[in-house]
Amino acid sequence: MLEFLRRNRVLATTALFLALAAGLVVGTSGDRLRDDRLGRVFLEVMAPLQRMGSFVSRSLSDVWVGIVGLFQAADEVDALRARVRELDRATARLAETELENARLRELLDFREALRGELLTARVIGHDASAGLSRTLTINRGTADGIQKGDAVLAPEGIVGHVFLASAHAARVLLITDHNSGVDGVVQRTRARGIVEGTVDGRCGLKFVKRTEDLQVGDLVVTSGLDGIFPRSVPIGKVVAVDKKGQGLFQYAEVQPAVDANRLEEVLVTRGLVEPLEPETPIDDPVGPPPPPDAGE
Amino acid sequence: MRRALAIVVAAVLAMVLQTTVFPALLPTAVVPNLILVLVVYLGLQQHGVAGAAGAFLLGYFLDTFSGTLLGVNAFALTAVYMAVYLVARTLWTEGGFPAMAVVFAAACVHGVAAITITWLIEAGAPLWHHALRYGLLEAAVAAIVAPAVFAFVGWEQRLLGIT
Repeated sequence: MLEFLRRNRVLATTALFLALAAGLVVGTSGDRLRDDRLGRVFLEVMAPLQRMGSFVSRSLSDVWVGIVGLFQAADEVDALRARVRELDRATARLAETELENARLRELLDFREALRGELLTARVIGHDASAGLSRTLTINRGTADGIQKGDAVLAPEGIVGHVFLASAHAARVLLITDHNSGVDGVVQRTRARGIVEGTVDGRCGLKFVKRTEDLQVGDLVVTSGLDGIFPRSVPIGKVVAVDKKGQGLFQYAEVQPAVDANRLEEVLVTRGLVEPLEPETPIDDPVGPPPPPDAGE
Repeated sequence: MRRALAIVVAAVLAMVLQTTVFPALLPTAVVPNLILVLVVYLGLQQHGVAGAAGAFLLGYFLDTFSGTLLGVNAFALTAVYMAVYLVARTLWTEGGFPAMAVVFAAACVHGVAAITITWLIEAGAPLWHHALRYGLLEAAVAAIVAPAVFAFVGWEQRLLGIT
């Protein structure tokens, strides 16, 4: 027996400790408020170390939380950047809408100042060659009642007239095109002339009698006599006057009231359109000048 | 004596880690049971009365900081020591993957022993459910950290001049 125990003393000791542990469990199970002296010693010895460990772990935890926070912040920054981009786009869209609203309001005001049928159209294209000829394409066509010869207006003044129309689009010849001619009148003096486009994309006032008082800054408006444009709509302002040439007429360079390059919406007349407020009749004792291609 | 000192230092450090550092840093319900790994180390390296006593005391130490039922871990870790001792008598499991496998098995033994002894006292408590849910995970985690614990105790022993 002793020999057996000696040979298996580890197992025997372990069994003894097992029994002791089981006894501890059974013995202390009735009272959970244990009176555990060894445990109190362990607790007391470990307390400062645990405080230290707790401090270290809190510090490490803070660092860890900081690191995790950094990654989360990076994600958050990405998300916020995306949001900012989205908001920027929305703001741009909103600004665009506001600008469009303002333009349309202006167009509406202008439209209300005229009597007759007017159609709003959007500019959908510019001249493909952008060299000698100056035209626009609008998104309205014969299906909307647009016809060849209809006047195209903007709140600032006249734009041109339709020279080609398909069912859902039309091309507009701008007043700056060298093939264009508009019967105009100098607002201040009521002197008549023909505003023609030039090859370099500007306008010139021709056939104004040399005796007429023509000054830089004079506003040239439509006379309404060409049968295309309603009367009293601005064409442009005189920026230079040339009286040096020989002959009966003088020439003036006119800055168009409308910058066709910036146009987005226009009004197209359908039939006869007149301003609501009648203007002083044009004093024309000699009759209209003989423009070769006026109101083409 | 120096061998015991190495185990005591390791046990204290293990307890500090188990009770303060790991719970704060590991966002899981499972904390590596380093004391269990130390008992396995004893079972593999310390074949004698001192080893058995060490296992019991480490269990008691763990009981002080774990649960309310005194003796459960003392019982379970003593059982672990016995099991590992029996394995170590027939198998060479110094370190590496075999030691990890032993730690995994020892953790299972620990779980079964702890639940069994607790069940004897608290019959009806849903302990097996918990064991099935977390036991294997705890065993796996213990097995994963085992090489580090073994290396640390080995380093301590070299520091103390124990070969």
